Amino acid sequence: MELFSEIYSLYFRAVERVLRRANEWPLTGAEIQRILSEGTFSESAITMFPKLQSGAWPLLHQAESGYMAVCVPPEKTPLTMLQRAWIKSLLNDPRISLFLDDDEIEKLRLSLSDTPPLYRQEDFYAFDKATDSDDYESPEYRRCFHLFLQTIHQKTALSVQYEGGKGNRVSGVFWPYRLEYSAKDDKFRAHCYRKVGGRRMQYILNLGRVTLAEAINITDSGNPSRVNRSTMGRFREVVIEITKERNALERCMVHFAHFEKRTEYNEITDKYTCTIRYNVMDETEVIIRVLSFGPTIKVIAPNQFINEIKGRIRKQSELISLVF
Amino acid sequence: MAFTELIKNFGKTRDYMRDFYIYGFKARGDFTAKSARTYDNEKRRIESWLAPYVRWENDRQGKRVYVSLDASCIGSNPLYNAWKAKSFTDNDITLHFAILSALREGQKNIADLTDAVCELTGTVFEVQTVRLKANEYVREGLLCKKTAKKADYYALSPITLPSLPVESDRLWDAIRFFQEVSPFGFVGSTILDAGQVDQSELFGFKHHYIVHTLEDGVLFDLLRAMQERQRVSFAQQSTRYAREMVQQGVPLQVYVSVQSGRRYVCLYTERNKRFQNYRLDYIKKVDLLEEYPGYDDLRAKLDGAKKRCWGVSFGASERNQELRMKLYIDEEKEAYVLDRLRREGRGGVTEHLEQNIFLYSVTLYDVTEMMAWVKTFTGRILSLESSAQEVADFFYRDMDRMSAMYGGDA
Repeated sequence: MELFSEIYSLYFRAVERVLRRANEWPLTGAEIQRILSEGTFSESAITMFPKLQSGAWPLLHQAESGYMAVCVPPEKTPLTMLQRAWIKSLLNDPRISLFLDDDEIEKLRLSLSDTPPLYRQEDFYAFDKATDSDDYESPEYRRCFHLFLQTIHQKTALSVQYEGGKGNRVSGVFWPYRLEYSAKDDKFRAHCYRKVGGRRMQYILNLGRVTLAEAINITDSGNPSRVNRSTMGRFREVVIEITKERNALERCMVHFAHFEKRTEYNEITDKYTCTIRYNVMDETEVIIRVLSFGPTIKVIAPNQFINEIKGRIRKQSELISLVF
Repeated sequence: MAFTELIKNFGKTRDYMRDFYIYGFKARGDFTAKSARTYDNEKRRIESWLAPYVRWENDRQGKRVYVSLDASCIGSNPLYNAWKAKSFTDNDITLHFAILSALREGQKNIADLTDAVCELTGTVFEVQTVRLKANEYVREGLLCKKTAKKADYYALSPITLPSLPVESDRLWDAIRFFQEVSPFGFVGSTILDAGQVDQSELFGFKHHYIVHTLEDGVLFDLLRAMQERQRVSFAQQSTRYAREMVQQGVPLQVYVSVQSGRRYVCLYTERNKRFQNYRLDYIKKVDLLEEYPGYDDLRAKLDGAKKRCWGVSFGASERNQELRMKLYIDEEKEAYVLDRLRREGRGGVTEHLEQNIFLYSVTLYDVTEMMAWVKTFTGRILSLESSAQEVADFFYRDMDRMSAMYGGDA
């Protein structure tokens, strides 16, 4: 069982698409090149087309009407051992019950009984995961998750009652368009919008805090289910200066790796400057994550962020001086 | 040799991808481990694989090329492309499609299969060549083989995704989700590729460390060793020290930090008789050694020891250290801070001392490791005490330095 194998390559997938289409009707060279360039790398089609055309990969026959397939892939591609082993591993993950019911999980386990799992849950230990994960075993939670997922697929709405973290209650019609999972919190949140006076207001609901959800069979003709991810929420940038002390650079780069960022080295100061782009909704989290690095990183812009940090440090100095 | 987007060896590209994505500040001249030509080829490859996410800037060091993306804004990890770029020969791709095509109508013995492959492709293949590829596909699970009357018969494996006893739409959704959150997620991504199912924007992922996929080769070998209860030997090289070190021991568990983005293997080293964690991203290559007879006992011992660990450190001598942090929290308005202590406190105890004053205390092998978390409460800490006095002293010095760093008026 190979992990790194050409049978998973995008080149094989692209050729497979060409062969399937060329089995239905003759393809022109331009059509083949277009199919090859979809879902491959930027230079792939340039390399692949001459191979097919020249017969170095003798998989097509050139007739007067165009290129026809001489090899036709099976209608249903078999799953490899690796793919089966990966699916088998998922069956022991508690989150699988959000997608499949208990009966389906058991049937799937039975049908893959000859396949050893690729990994076991007990092989992993997430030592800094929050302790109040969503309750994936709860039938109410599973029902709620199903409902949100189904609603997103159908582009319809839900009537929701919700109790926020600070005790504030919200109820009304919500249009969910994406489910967001946080590995750190081990929780799901639903990105939704509500229509208020002709405008769409964005809301993020923790699924674990939804007290009631019911499907409503109405659609929104302008449903932005394909809301551009980059326009979700407002974004800001913070600029930090990183010293070489305590391996701060390496720790910082890995820690903030999931943000969009750019880093430069300043020869004069012998420090690194990193600009991190974050969603405004996550600002408090970014502030405390910056603080966790202590004096090994310093915020140098913008002023509003610097003032937040200064405020906390000032408060800290005052508390210490009260005690000593 | 002409440039190709495809690669033979995953390990070689892994370091460059990591540098471009994690750091991103290096110019061509900073990549000194290999030749400039190697750098040029790797850069071009990464530009090709990750085109929408590649950025470049010019500064005094020269042109810096880097990969930048917000992992919460992607539906599928683009670094998986490296796993889908294995090089192959003309024969590999020809035989792949010819064998699968030839077996569409049913099973064939090797002679008939070879004839069919030759006829389809108009190319002469030796029986042995076709047999080798067919046997490889039996091992990979694409084909199955049975022997009748001393002849081997090959057929397409009947196990396909639609053949599984579940509603396929729901299974597709599960695969879309798990391809991003489970180990070896790229395998899920290959299932979506094969099914020509869109990778979708149904799910988003916060705190999503997509770089982990680059360690999956190392992880694969370590998990095999754990399943077989084997000792391992691996070469390891950190970014701090240029020298490569070789470690040997019994791998017991993979430690994952969902907050800092690091993954480790917890190894029992017999030489020191200790547990020690090693970063997966620093491990170059793993060799599997002999079976370790006391494996289950070690696992049980580790489960006991981890209760006294904040993260990955077992301390210098597995002796207890205590830490007490007194905090000011407005209990009416700041209940969320108390929630955070409970959610993130990892076995620590929170006591209510008086109005708005709380004491968090914990006993660990190494309290140094929790100081990053302690500093997230900056602005609320009334006092910090520890049986490891140097740790508390260090905290106060850091606070003084931060105060001075922000102009002293902070």
